Amino acid sequence: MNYITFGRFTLPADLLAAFAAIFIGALIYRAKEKKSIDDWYWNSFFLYIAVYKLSYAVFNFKLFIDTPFSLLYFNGGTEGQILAYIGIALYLYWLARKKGNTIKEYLPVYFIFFLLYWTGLFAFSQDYLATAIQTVLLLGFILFFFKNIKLAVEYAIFFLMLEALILSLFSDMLSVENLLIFALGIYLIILQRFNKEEIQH
Amino acid sequence: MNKNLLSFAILALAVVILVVNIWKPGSTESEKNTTAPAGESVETTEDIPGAKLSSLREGAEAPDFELNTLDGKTIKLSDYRGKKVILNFWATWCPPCKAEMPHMQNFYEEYNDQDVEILAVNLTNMDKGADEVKKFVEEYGLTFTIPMDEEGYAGTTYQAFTIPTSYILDENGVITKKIVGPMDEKMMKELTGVK
Repeated sequence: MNYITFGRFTLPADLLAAFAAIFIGALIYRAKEKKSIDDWYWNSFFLYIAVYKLSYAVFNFKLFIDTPFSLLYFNGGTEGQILAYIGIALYLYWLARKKGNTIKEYLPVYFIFFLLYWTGLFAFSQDYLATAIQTVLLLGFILFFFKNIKLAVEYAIFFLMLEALILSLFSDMLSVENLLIFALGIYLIILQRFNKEEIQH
Repeated sequence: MNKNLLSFAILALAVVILVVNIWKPGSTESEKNTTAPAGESVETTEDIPGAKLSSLREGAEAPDFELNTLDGKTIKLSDYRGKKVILNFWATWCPPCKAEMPHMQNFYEEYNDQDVEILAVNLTNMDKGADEVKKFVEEYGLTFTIPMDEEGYAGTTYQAFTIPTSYILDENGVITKKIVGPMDEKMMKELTGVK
């Protein structure tokens, strides 16, 4: 992991990459759909941050009781991240049950966000070859998105595999952070597929 | 794209990913070994004597200092060559420093045997006196070395204006990273590369 220092703060590169991806992702969605992205997008990030942060108190309960303000500076680490992803998965499932029309947006938006995120991470680590290749994949997906091609299961798996290959070559595909992202992707593919079958019946 | 072609592409990708991941660990290890020492020697020779700011760059040798510790010993930073060092700057009145201390203690207890040393320099000239520092150290049960920067020399040299500020030094006393703000165990682990 890279850490970038701005004056009085040192921020991890993944946080910066994620924040950039959140806003650029929303802009790309807006450019194509001609409307703002739905609440589920922002709620997912809020949920992630809330669980990731608050789980610090759960995993370091004694430290938290001794110095409650430490919650300001720290987060729940890897375990917190796992909980946060589970939280997002449950939230999206619940939302899909409640109003099924958002479900087709999950996967394309998932790809736009994480492809942006990884491009940012490679750029921050100043690995220019990886950044360039990742950008090509990102642009490829955006083109796909703008052409309104339906993101069928096969295409989704294809894009996931391309990403897995890039991470295998330039980063660590098997790190917990990356595996969690892939798990979420596979979960969304299953969710979309499952939902389609339900409609057909 | 044809569905069959797509399925074939997916299958082919799966094989390539498998091959890359199995073949990779050995190759990156040897890459790191060959590039790291070369990088270091280039960086250290670039160091211009007397240019204070540039001597704090990542990749430059950490400026040496000699300080008395809280328990009355005298230490020099250069005594710790051969070990990775987390050089931390703190004061008792600083909330993020307080938040960081238990994490630093946990990290120290767990990884001290892996040649990682923690030097938590107290900015004594800006703190409330040695007694207060002693009380703090006892309260938090800190067992790593606490050098006392009574003149404020080390703090100034290392530009510890916003605290906590930490420098990660490698075995050759070269700065690998400057971190402003508190760290937890995970971050210290990533930065020092302990397993």
